[in-house]
Formats: sequence, C-alpha cells, structure tokens
Amino acid sequence: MAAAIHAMGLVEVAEAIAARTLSAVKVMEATVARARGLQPVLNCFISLQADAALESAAAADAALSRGVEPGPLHGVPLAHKDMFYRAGRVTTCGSRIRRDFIPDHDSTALARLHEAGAIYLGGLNMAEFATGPTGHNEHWGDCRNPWDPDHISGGSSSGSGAAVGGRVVFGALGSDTGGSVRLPSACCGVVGLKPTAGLVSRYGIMSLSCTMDTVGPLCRTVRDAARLTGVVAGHDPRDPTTDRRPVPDYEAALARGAEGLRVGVPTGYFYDAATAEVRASMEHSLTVLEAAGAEMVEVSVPDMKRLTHLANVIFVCEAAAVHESWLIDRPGDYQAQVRSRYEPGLYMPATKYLQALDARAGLLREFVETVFANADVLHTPAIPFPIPTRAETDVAAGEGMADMVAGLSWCTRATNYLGIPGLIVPCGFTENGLPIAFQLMGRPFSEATLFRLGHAYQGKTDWHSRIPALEPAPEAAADGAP
Amino acid sequence: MPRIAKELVEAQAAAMGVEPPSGKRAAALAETVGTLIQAVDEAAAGVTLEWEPARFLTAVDETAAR
Repeated sequence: MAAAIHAMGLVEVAEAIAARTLSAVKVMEATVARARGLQPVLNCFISLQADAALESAAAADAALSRGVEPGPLHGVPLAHKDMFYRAGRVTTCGSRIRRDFIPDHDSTALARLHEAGAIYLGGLNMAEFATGPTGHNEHWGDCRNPWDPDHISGGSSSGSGAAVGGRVVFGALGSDTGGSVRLPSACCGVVGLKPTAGLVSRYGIMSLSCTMDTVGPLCRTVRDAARLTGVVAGHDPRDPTTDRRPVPDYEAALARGAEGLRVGVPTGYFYDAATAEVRASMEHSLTVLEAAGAEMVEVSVPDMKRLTHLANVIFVCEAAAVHESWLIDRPGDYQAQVRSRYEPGLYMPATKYLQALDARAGLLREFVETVFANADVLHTPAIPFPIPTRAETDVAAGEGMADMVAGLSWCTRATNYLGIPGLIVPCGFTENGLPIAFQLMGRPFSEATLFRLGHAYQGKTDWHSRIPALEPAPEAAADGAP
Repeated sequence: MPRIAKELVEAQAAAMGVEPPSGKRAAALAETVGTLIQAVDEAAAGVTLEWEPARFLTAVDETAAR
C-alpha cells in the first residue's frame, strides 16, 4: 500500500482520507517511512516530527469517525521550509545563527494549513537564511535532487523541492524572493507558485527582503497547488501588506481550461541564455498549449536586466538591514557565499534604495502594458540550461561557477521586483535526466489564469506523474533527528 | 552620482565595525555597488520621488487581472 500512497497527489490523498477509503494514519505511516528512508539520499529534512504527526493523524481519523466535517487538507502530511514559525518550536532558517531560535508565535500560513486539517511533519532543509539558488548548505548539509542526487535541488526552498519531487510529502510551502520557490520546483520536477505580492501573508516567517518576499506552495500537480494556494491566500490583519480582495475558487476555475487564453511568447531576453535542448522543450510545450485551445502571441519584453539590477539593489539593502548586527558580531557563522550576498547593502546609499523602490510602480505599469496588452500570460523557460551538478555550482568549482549560479535565476529574479505571479510547470527532461520546466507569468492576481493554463497542459501530458527511481534506506532514524 | 571608491568601502566598514574587507574584496564591493547605482540612476531618471508604498500598491491594484 505504501508504494501506492506515495504515488498519489495531494488532492487525491485528501479526498481519499475524507471519504475514509484511506486512513490518515496509513498515509502518515507510509509518509514517515519514506521520509526516514530517503533522508540519507536527499537530506531534505532539518527536523522530522514523526511521533507528533502520527498522533495528529490518529486524531484526524477519530474526528472523521465522530462525523466532523473534514477541511480541504484533512489528515494530509505536509512539511515546510524551516523558516515558518511555530510558537515554542525551534525554527532554524537553515542557519547556524538560528540553530536554537524559538519563536513566540505561529506563522499565519501554517495556522491556515492547520485549520484546513493538514498535519505538520517537519521543517525542511533550505539555503541559509533563504539565500542561494542551488541547495548548498554548509550548516545542515546539501539538499540533493531526487532525479539524481549528484545534481542540485535548487534553492532556496531546497528541501521543499526535494521532498515533494521525491514523493515524500504531498506538498510544501517555500518562500520566493528571487526564484526560491520556482527554482527548486523546476530542478525537482514539481509545480511551484510565486504568488502576487500581497496574496499570501508573510506574518511569522523570517524576512529576507521585506518588499519582495512571497510565500508559495510546491506540489506535484497544478490542481494540488491550486488547493494549497486557496487555503493560505487572503488578507491577514497581522500582515498589513496583504490584499483585501476575495480569494477566487482556484480549483473551480481549472474546469474552464485553456480555451481562448492568449499565451505571450517573448522575442528576447528569456531565450538569450537558453540551450537548444531547453528551447526545443519550450516549443513543444507551446504546441501542447495550442492544442489545448490557447492562442500564441509574440510579445516584446522591456529591459529585464534593468529590472534584475533594481531587484538586486532592494535585496542587498533590505537583507543587510536584517543581518547587520550579525554581520558585525558573528560574520564567521555565515557561509562565505551568503555573507557576500548581503555585504553590498552595507555600502549602498539610502537614496538609491528609495529610488529603486520608487521606480517600481512605473516599471510595473510599463511591463504590464507592454507584455499583457495582447496576452493573458507570458510563457518562458524556468531555467535556461540543464540542471547543473552540485560540484559545478560549489564555491570550489572556480571559474564560471558564479555565472552559472547567477544564470539559474535569469528568468525569475525580476518577477519579485514587479510583484507579479509566476507558476512553474514541469515539461520534460534534458539528456542528463533532470527535469525541464516552463514558467507562466501574469498580471497581478492572475493566479487563477495561470492555474487554468498549467492544468490544461498537465491534462495533455504525463511529466507530472513520473516518479524518480529512489531507493529508500531500510534503517529508520530517530524522531526529531533525521 | 559619483562611483563608490574602494577607500570609501574600507572607511565605512571601519566606521560600522564590520570585519575589514581585504583590498581585493573592497574593490569588488565598490564595483558591485557602482553597477547597481548606475542601474538605479538609469531607471530613476525623470522619476519624481514620491511615497513609494502607496504608489506601488496602487499600480498593483490598477494593473491586476479582473
């Protein structure tokens, strides 16, 4: 039964538990066994709360026996990037500095998942302080790719990508400040959403860059992502930057399909660094979308490099502000690569930071008016080249490493400056056996449209149902110390 | 906007009490900051500085999907 369970999707398992064709305990037992068995292979957990999760699963089954109406995630095991606070429980942020940090409040996103019935299984590996696109972590060990552990998992939500891609958990939350949900999604062959700024509360997560941080789901299918997004989205009085508009019924919108949607295909920038293999996969995905009823439209895009530079100005200033005291008092407790990402912010004039923020409104308008005048979505590669190995992107790799690491976020970084949503959908494999994915971007609060198109694509392809060939280790780890 | 000099990075590091960067590192930081400043100067040319949060949130609202 365990093999069948790990092959199921989030919505599928939630519906089976609610219908009582599968018990929450059975699902949790299978999940815990797989989490423990794959930890030596993937290193995707920082902490595994198996005993508490099994108790919660038993309680979930008991509630159904009493006739309690199940929530949309009743009994479903989830685990999340280890930066979502739970009062009284250690939240490491993937760092040495916060190895023993115990927050005094819960994150709104986790509280909403709990209210919907989801069960927390543990904190997932991540790049130190959510900084880094590869999944390297000197403090907690590198996270590894489920399709080939010698390759990067992507980051910074590395454990979220690996745990969902490895079919360990049914969904996970990550954070995205420049690609940190989308890159591990693309690397690990799963669906990931960077939502519109203001759609999901950031209350109770550690800030990296407060004007660009977003919280989003990583899941096996677009339908799964639509369900998770529907649960965590919406106004939160504890995060005044959240929007007050009603949250659409994302799952219901999927039924509308791709018919009539106009897909923008960029004529520049996004393909500048794309390999022939990635280009061919993108072209094929467009033919699938066209067959699903969408219309293709060529669009020109504004200067994306400029947007990326502006995003970097804001990032270094806001991150340096958060980390200043630790940079002074505990510089040796950071990985050198992470510390070096923040340092320019210590020397950036405040006037430039404010000007970069102030240019944002006008550049968003320009982008939307240029790109979405005749298109509903913009279709781009997620990562323009095959997923590299961990060795190729390690600090010891030498010449070319920095360019390769920077190139990972070529297609994602500017999105956070603009505040618009981006959805990652797996669409094939390169010759090295690693996933390829496309990205769909849209106007602010167009998540329902992105989900419609992504779901229509998955209705005509089977990339999302392929499972990496992983051999779980037979020995179980102790609870709390995977 | 004048470029950031390596010496300015070194002086500011000393004033803030952060670990002093090596000469090579200070030069690299000055170059990075200079590149980013140039991007801001180009993007912000002709933009009147206003109160950002309201302006950006208004732009998000006005460009949102309906």
